[in-house]
Amino acid sequence: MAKRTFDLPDLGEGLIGATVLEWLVSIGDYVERGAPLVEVETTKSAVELPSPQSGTVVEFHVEAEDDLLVGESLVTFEVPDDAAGIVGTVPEEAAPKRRVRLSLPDD
Amino acid sequence: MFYAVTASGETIAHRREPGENPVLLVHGFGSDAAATWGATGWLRALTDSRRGAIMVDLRGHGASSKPHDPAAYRTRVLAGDLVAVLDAEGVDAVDVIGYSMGSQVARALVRDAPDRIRRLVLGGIGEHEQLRAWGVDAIERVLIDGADVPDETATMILRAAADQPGADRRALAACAVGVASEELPEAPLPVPTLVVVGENDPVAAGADALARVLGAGYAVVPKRNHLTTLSSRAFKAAVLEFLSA
Repeated sequence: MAKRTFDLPDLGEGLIGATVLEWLVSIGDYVERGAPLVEVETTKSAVELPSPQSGTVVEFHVEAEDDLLVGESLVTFEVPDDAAGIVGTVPEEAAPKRRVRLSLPDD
Repeated sequence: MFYAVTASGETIAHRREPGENPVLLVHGFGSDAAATWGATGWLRALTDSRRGAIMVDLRGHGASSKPHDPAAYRTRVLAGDLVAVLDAEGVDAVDVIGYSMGSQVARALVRDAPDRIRRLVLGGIGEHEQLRAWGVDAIERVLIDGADVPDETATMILRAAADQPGADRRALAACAVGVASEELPEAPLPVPTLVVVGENDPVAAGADALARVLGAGYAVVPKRNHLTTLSSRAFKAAVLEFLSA
């Protein structure tokens, strides 16, 4: 098993951080990718963030009412080794690369 | 995204999420369907309960027409837009969830077309209609002139609406003035209704009294304000339970 940590993602609209309102999972829960993970508040809205990963939740880096900035650690999952990949990459769920033809056709 | 065309030619943007017994979702002032029901996890919560959804952008908001005449935002007109969307979707009667100004529009829908509603949830409103309480002058000063008004909540909410990407300030001002210009019936409603508000939401002050007047159930979401009530799990749980009763 390997551990993967996820940061607070960019929430758009120039927002630089958020406040955690409520974790929607518990330590030890197995969470499917895309399932509700955590509820956060920004200066403009309240947002429910989906889980970026299927795996077992092993650590919250922030608790309810804590502030954090985009890019700061949010949560750590334990995932099977074949789903963990090389650090910093997401090989399992990356979009397939499109092949681009660089040479001109003969005719 | 689909567009229903009203009798007077405006287009009302709406989107259907597949599932049984779709719920009509009516967002509040200065927001739109995606921000109110998508980002907050509501669509996911409904889908997880096998419910479909019909999301609408109210006129003046999102991808819908944005007239600048306050008369185009009378509650009768806004409720008519919802009927146009239900007709376009081929849906007879639905459960309805409104939030903030969307709840006022939902009340107007009960008044004007009660046979189109099965069960009704009014979120984020209280004894006094907020736009009416703030008054036309304050609304126009913040939205049109970009000024502050003494009521900090009014300044904050109106400014947030004006600063939304794609916001049309004149349309928003016309909408606020139109909605503020009339009172909705304060009598028991003919459909089962639940009022849900955040414990720390000044916009929804007196919601318990409103619930009594409307003959509605009443639920409070602890520790939440006007913004954060929307995404809360407690709000969703209370509503889903009420709608499945």
